[in-house]
Amino acid sequence: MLKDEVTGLMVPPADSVALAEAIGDSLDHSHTRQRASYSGPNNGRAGIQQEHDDKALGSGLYARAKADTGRPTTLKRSYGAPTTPCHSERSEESRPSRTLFGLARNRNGILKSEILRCAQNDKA
Amino acid sequence: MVGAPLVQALIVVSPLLHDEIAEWFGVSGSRVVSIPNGIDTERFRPHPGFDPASIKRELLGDDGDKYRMVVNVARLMPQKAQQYLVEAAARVVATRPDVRFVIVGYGPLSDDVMALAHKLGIGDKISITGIRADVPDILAASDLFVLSSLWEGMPLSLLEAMAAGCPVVATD
Repeated sequence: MLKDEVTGLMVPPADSVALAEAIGDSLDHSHTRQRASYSGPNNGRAGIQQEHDDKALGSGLYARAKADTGRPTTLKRSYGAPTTPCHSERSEESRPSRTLFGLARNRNGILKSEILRCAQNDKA
Repeated sequence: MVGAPLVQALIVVSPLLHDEIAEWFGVSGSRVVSIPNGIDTERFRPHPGFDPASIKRELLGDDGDKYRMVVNVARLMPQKAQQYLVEAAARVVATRPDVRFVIVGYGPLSDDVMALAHKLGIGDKISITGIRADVPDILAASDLFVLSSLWEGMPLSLLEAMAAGCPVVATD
C-alpha cells in the first residue's frame, strides 16, 4: 500500500539511524510532504480510497465472490437459510467465496452494508 | 495442523501472507483468500472548520502550534518497537528543535518508552497520549506519521494516516 518515495518513505525495521534520516527528510523537504497531501500528484489518500475504502472493498468482494461461484443465490444460503448445503456438497473452488459471504454476515459496519446493498441490487 | 482438513477458507489481510499462511496451517493455497483491511475513508477527511493548531495546542501545550508534530499511532508493545522511534527522535530534535513527537496509544511498554526518552534527554519532547477518540483529527493535524513496527500485516494506522493525507514514514 505504501510506495517508497512515492506515497511515503520506507526504512528497514529496527534501524533508528535510518528512521531518523527519513523523518528528517520528510520534515525538511516540502515536496515530500506535498506528494502525500490531498493535492499531491501521488497522494496516499487516493490509493487508499481505491483499494481500502470499506465501500469499494465491499462491492469488490461481492463481485469477486459472485464471479467465483457464478451463483449469487449462494449468498442466501450463507445467510443461514435451511437450504445450506452440507459440507460434502461444497466444491473445493466455492469454499473461499462462501467464506467471503460468511465475512459479510459476521462483520458489522460499512463493508457488510455494501455487500448487502450489492446483493439487493442483484436480486432486483 | 490437526484442524486443517476442516478449514473452508483462511482469510489473510495481505497477498504477501498468502503462501506463508497456507504452509503454516497446512492447507491448500486455493483455500487462502486475501481480503485487505478496509477503513471508512470519509472519517479521515478533515471536516470544514478543522483547526490543526488547536489540536497541536491540546497535545503539545499552549505554544504547541509552533511545533512540527510527528505522530505514531500504535499500542506500546514489542512489535511496535517505539524504542527505535525514541532513538530516532533524539537524533531528529538534536538538529530540529521545533519538532515534537506524540505517541497515541497505550500498552505495557509505556513506562519503558518514556524512561528511554528521559534517558536520552528528550522526555519533554515526546509524549504518550493514551487512547484517543479523535485520531482522524490528530492525523490531519500532524506533519508526519511514523510507523516503527518490527513487522506488520496490513496496519490500519498506516491506512488511516494515508487516508488523512498525512505524510508517512514506515518500516519495510
